[in-house]
Amino acid sequence: MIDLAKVSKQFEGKRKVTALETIDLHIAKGEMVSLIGPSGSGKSTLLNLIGGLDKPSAGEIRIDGELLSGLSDDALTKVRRDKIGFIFQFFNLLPTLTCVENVSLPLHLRGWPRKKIEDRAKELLGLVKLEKRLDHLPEELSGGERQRVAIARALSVFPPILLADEPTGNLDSTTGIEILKLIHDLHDRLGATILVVTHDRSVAESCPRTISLKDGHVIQDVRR
Amino acid sequence: MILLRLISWQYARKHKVRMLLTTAGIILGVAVFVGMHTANQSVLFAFQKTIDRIAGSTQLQITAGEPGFDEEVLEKVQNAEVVRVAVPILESTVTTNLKGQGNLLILGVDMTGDRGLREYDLEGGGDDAVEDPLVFLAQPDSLIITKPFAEKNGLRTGSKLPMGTMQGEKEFTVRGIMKSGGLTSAFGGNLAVMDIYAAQKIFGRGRKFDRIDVGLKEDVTLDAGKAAIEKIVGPGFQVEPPSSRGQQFEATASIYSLVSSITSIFALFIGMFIIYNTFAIAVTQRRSEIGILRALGATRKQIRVLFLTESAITGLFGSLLGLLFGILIARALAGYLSVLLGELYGLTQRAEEISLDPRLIAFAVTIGVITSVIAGVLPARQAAAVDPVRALQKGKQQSLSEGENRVRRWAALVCVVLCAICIYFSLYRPAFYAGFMLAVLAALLLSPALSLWISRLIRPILKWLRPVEGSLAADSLIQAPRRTSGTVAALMLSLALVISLAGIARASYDSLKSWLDVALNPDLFVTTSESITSRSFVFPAAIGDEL
Repeated sequence: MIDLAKVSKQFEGKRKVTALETIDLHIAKGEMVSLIGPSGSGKSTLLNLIGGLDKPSAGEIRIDGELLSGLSDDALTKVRRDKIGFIFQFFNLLPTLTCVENVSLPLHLRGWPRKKIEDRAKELLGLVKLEKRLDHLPEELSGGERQRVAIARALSVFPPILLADEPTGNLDSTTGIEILKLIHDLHDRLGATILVVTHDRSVAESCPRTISLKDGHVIQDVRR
Repeated sequence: MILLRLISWQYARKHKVRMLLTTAGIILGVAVFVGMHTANQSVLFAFQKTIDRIAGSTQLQITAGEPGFDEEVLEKVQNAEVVRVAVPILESTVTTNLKGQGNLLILGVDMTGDRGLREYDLEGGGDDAVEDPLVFLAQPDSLIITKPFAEKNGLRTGSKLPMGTMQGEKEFTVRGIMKSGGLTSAFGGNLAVMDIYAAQKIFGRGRKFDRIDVGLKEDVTLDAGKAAIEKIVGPGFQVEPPSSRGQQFEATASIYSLVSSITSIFALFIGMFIIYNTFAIAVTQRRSEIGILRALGATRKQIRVLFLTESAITGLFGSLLGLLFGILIARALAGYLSVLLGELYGLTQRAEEISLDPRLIAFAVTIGVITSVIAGVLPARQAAAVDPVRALQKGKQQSLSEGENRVRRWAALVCVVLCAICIYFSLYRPAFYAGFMLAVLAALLLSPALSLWISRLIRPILKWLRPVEGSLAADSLIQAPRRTSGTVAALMLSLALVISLAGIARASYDSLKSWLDVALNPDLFVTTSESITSRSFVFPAAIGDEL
C-alpha cells in the first residue's frame, strides 16, 4: 500500500538540513504501524511525504501503486483527497463550523451531493459516538471530542490510508487512551492502513508494527 | 459555492466591520460615479423636457446670438417655400418681486401665428384673450401665466403682477392662466407669455427678435428645411432644431461630469488598494484555515477561486451599496446643479425625478466588481501558494511577502524616464496626462521598496521610543512590505487626489484672476441685468451719452 524507495528530504535554508536519508519502507495494505522517534528524527517529515503534502528531495514514493514523484500539485491533491485521511495533533478543525460541517468539508471538496454528504457526516459522527454533538462548535467540545470529530473527518471518504500525527499528543492520558482505542477499533472494523506518528512509547507499542527513526534514518522495525 | 458559505461567509460574519470598511472604497467610488452622472443626466433630461415644452411642435429655430436680429428676417423666412409656419420669439428673464419666486421667463410671442406651433390651453373665461388675439394685443400689459405659478402666488385672471422692466417696476395684468401640462411645467411653472411687440418695448429690444420658431411643410425633411433657410437668412444666423439648445447645456454639464469621473476613478483606485490590503491581511490570518483545506484535498485553483469570488462578492456588495448612496447623492446634487446651471441660464429647472440609466448602473456595478477582483488577484495567488505543511505547523510563520524585486524597480525606472519625456512635451495635453499617470505608476511600483526602506529607517526610532512594542511594530511592517505598501499606496493616492484637485482649482483661480486683471481693467461695470450670460434688457442708445 505504501512503498518508499531511497527517499531523502533536505530543507534548504541558510544551512542545509537533512531530515530523512535514503529511507526504504514497505507498509502492506491494512497494516497498523507506529512511527516513533525523538524530536527532529524526521517522523513528521516522513508522514508529510507519504501524505503528499511535501515532496522528497530524492527517491520514490508509491501510494496504492501510484508513483507520487513527478505528479503535479493538482494530481497530488487528488491522491490526498481520495486515498488519504489526516488526523492532526492539534485537531485542526475549523472553529466557525459545526461538527457536521467540519466532517462534511472533505466531501464538499469532492463535490458530493448535499444530501449524501449530510447522511455520511451523521453516520461518521455516530461511528465516533458524537451523534449528540452534531451542531456543536469545536469550542463547545472537550479535547477528546474534538479529536473524535477530526477522526470522523479523516474517515469521511473511508480512505484506504489513515495518517495520524501525534493523535494523542494534545490530550490527557485517559482521553489519549480512549482515542487510541477508537483508532484501533476503526482499524479493525474498516481495515484501513494506518500510520501513527508518536513519541509516546505506549502508543507505539499498542500497534502491531513499530518503526523507529533517529536522525533521519530507520533504526528499528519491530513487528509484534 | 459551498466553500463560500462554509468558509468565507463565516469569516465575513466574524469580521463585519472590517468587511464593511473594505467595501467602503468601492461604495465611495461607485456612489460618486453614479451620483454625479445621474444628477447630470436628470438635470439635463429636465432641461431638455423644458426646451421641448417651450418649443412645442417647432422643428427649427433661427437665432443670431444675444443681440437678436431685425424684424425683416421674419418675412423672408415666412416666404420661404419650405416653411409652413414661422413665428417670432423674444425671451427675457425678469425679476417678479414676489417673495421667494425668483425669476420668471417671459416668452414674447405673436399670438396671431404662434398657436400653429404651441398649445395655449387656458382655463375659465381667460380663453377670450387668445380666442381674440386683438384683445390681447390691444392691452400691452397682458400676461398669460401658468397654473402652478398662479396657485403658488394666489393669482387669478385680472390679478396684477409687478415686474422689473426697462421702465422701472411695472404692473402687469393676468389675462389668462394656462392649465397643467405642456408649457406650464417648463421651469417649474415660472413662465409667462406676453405679446412680442409689447415685450420689445418693455424690455428695450427695439425692433428686434431673439428667435424665429419654424414649422416645416409636411414633405420637407429637417436637413432640407435647414439648408433652405440657411440660404435665405445668410451667414451670422444659426438654424438648428430645438434639441441643440440641450446640447449646449450638456456641454456645460459635461465639465462637472468629467471632474466627477476623475474623482470616482481615484476613489475606486484607492478602494482597490484598501481591498488588496484587507485581503492580504486575511490571507495571513487564514493561513491555518487554508492549510487545513489544502490538506483535506482543496486544490490551489479551488483556493484561488474562493478568494477571487470573495473579492467579487465584496465588489458586488460595495457596488450595490454605492448605487444606493449614489441615488441619494444624485438627489442632493440635482438640486445644486439646477441652481448652479440656473445661475448660468437665468432660470432654475429642477429635476423633478431622478432618471436612472440602466446602462450607467450596469457599468458602475461592473467597474466596482472588476476593481475588487483586480485587488483580490494577488492575495488570491498568495493564498493558493500557501504551503499546507508550514501553514499547519503551529508557531511557524510563512512569509507571504517576497519584498521588493528587481523587475518592479526597473519598471519604475522606465516609468520615470517616460514620465520625464512626457513632461518635457507637456504642452501637448495627452502627453501631460500620460506623464501624470506614469508618475503615479512609478510611485506605486516603488511603494513596496520605499515602504521597506522607510520601515527599516524608523525601526531604531521606534525601538528607542518603545523598546518592545516599537520593535515589534517596525518588524511587522518590514516582514510584510507588500501589505504595508498597500496601505501606503492607498494613502498616497488619496493625498495625490487631494493635492491634484487643489492644484487644479488654484491654477484655474490664478489663471482666471490674471486674465481678469489683463483683459478687464475698468473700475466699474454697468449692466442691464444680474446675469452676465443672459441679458434681460438692452440699454437704449442714449444711456451711453448720459453716463
